[in-house]
Amino acid sequence: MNVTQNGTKPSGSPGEPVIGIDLGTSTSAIAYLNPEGEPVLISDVNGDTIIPSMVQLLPDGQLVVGSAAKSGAVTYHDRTAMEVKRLMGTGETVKLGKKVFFPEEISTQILKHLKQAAEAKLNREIRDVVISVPARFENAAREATRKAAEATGLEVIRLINEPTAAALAYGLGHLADQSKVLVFDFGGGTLDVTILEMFEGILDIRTSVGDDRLGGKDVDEAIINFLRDTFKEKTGKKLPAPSRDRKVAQRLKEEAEIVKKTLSFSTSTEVHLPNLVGEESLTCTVTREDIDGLIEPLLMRAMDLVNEALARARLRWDDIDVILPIGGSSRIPMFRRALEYASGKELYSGDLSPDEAVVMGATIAAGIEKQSYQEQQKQIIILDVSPHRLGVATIKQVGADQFVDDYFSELIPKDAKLPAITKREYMTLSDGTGPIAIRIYEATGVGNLCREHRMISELSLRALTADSKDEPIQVEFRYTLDGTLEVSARYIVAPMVQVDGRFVLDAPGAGGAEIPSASWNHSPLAELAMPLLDQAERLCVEKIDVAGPIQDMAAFVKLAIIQNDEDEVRKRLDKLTDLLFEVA
Amino acid sequence: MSSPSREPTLYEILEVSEDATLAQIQSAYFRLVRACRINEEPEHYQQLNHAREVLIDPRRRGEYDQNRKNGSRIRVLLDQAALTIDRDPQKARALLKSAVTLAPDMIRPRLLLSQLLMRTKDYPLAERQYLWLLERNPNDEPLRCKLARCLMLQGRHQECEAELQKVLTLNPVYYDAQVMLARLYRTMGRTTELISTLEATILNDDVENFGDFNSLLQLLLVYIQQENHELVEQTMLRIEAVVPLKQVPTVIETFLRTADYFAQEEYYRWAVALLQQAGFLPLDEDTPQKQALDDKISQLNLAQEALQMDGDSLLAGPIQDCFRVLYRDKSSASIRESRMDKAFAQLQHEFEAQPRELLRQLDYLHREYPLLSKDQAAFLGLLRQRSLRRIEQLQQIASAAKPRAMAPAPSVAEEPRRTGIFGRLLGAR
Repeated sequence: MNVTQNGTKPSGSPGEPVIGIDLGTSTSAIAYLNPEGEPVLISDVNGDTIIPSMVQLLPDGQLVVGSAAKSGAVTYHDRTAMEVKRLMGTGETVKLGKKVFFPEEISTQILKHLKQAAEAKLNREIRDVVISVPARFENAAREATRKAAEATGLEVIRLINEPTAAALAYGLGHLADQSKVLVFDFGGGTLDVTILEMFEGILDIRTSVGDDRLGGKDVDEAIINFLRDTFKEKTGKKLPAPSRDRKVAQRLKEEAEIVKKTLSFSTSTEVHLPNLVGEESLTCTVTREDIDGLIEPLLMRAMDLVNEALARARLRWDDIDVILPIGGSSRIPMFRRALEYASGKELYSGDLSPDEAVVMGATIAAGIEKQSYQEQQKQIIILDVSPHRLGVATIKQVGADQFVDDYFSELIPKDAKLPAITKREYMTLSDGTGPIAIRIYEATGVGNLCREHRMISELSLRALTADSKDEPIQVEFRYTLDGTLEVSARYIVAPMVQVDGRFVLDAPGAGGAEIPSASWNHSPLAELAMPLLDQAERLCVEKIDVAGPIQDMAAFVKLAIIQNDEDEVRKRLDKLTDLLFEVA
Repeated sequence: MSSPSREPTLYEILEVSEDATLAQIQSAYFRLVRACRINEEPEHYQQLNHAREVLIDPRRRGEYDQNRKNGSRIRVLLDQAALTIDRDPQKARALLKSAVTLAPDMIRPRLLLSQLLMRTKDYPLAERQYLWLLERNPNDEPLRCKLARCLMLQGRHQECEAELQKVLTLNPVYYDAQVMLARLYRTMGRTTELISTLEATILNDDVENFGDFNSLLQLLLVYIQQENHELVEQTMLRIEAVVPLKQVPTVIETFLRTADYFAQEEYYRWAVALLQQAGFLPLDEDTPQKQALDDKISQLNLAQEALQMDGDSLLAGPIQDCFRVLYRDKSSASIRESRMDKAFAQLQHEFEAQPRELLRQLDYLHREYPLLSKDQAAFLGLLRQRSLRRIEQLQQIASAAKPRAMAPAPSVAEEPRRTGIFGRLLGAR
């Protein structure tokens, strides 16, 4: 990216601060870029640089964030939100006391807290930030993160994948190197394994695989179960289930975390929990061997993931030059040993702390976006990849006369370099099928059926003629770096007849962009749909638990109206009627 | 720069020579990426990525090279092979083999070769081809199904099951895989899994219709084998619901064919149960199918009785032997004939010596095996008469003051020999 040729000016005013944020499952952090181009961590009001991602609603209605919330987590166990990152974009909610919060709202609180800290430190308002997200994050979760930032008054100039950020933090000090790096990002809630190649300032992400249900929390879980078993052995009594006694659960949880952290540097530790249930206390010794046995299944899953990443990048351990363990959980000795054993290499042990690498990288990424590195003649280019597969639903024959109508046809493969452009041709299965529905899916798993995946949106290509014949159509996907997917479909014989869609990748309704009413309610077809849409809106307000699907369906009706396709509108309205009838 | 009439090769795109090493390709790629304005020329970037991706994967690079070098020759070979595949599989095989040798990394020749190998029953070789193909394309369900079939034909049931399960995790409604899995479970005799697989097959398209008839029939067979009458009835109701009136004759024929499988394994009772269920289908009285159904049922009942009699210790003796040869012996005609002769000789001897015993057995047979005795009424009646006569004879002999001689041996038949097994018996007075 030659800048003089390019001619683009730095987007922000010269003195504007460059900020990166790591919004983690269990801890968050914020940093700014100093004039030398090095990221510097900012500490919050509690004096922490690594801030627990916890939000607590005190009985007096005050919201506290960070270590203040953490220290009160046992007392106010039912008023503390933690690990909401796992819920981002899922539509699930958390309850603090009697109030219900969306995970986005909790994240907003954390971001506000970080923003305040940064503004206090830099003594000026901050706006543009780069936020890191797990590579595995679905687009809905990414969009939820963006929304949380917007609500805080921050503008996300880029969402960067955590492993990329970590590699960037490593890469800044090794710009001249040519090396292949394996990033083992084992955080509180997710494990991402990313393999990338660094070549004179180019960061070429080869592959990124992950498991968003495997993290430090699962290790805690294993230790908690161990403590529960020990308690039962010692006292003969069973500890109450977490759902029944959240206080005990919280105490165990904190103890488990301490055990985990202590055993990372010593071989055994004492657990002492007085008066855990009534008069009964729990006192025991936990050794590293105990824990190793407990987390072995997790270790197997993690190593499977590492091997998968190597296979996808078509590399062997010998080719890897640097193994970069990041994320707090990567300190667990058993995982480190396993990695060392498998690779036959030393893990990276430089001055980059596992907890700080991501936020540093995010800040550097913000610096790249803001072109802070130009004066220093440092060129950093990140070649990022698509975290998931994107495609459309097609019909496929699965038996002599058996068909499935939601077979996933991949247009953009996983690990495709962004921006990615793909065109594919499809045939309609029979004549006279009417308008063609192009349903766009994001595939997170390996399955070949769309029903397992997330629908992003749907386009409807109108029939070419009244008695539409079997005409091939061409579907084109353009997936750009800023996370937008442009889809267009056209007939090959009549390329003028086409339908376009541009999506910020998230499904309608699921925290997605509302379709602006001006674009559709002047259409002649709108009258047809108006009464039902009104009813749907009313119902959404009355019954929040079913609002999601209704909003989705209503969005489809609106889409069809915009496309001015009467058949489709009617079909969609029928479906909406059914749905409303069902939930009413 | 390449001439505009021709698409640039991947090597030209990356500006490397055709024997470039991986490191050279990578550094060329990075050099070009640095020069490329990614956001403004996404197409060019895309091209670079594609070229790099193909060239750093040895297999894809191999395929690309071979296609460029030998593509036209390979296509000719494949066309020829396709033409000869029916007439001369050996020749087709030789052609395909040379195609594979020419282009070991191309997919199509291997695909065709594997098909041919399956046809000529070279399962281990076909398996090797399938494994190679799957490594390239692990998400390809039809291919995996074919591999599973190949394994099943080799009798490697466990591995076959694993492959099919893999297909079903990829695509839980892959009908072919479900059907094959059901077949596998049937062979392995794993009933619970079989039932659940069959139900999955039926629910594949969310509606139960005539397309699911085969699965329902198999389910019916399972329940009949388990002799679970309630579920049999339920399943039959489901079958009745899906079979359209027009299809009933065809369906009955299917039932008859299926019953034959049972009959071959001598499970006459199950076969009868099956056909009785078939009788519930709406079918007119005077159709040939109805006739065939009734005939088959009575025939099977008879066979069932014969089977039962075969093991009946109360009937042990020459009568049982006779019936055994008649109904159950599957040997060749000459052997059966000699056995029959032997049985008759025994019978002859028996009713000379113990006519009462014989009479008792006949009564028993008449009482317990109504179908058999009805079918062979003439033969049994004759035997009965003769034993009665013989008893009379014996009584006469006994009533005579003292027996002067042993009972006269029965004279050999004078009249012309009648044909057939029973004809001969009747003749052997």
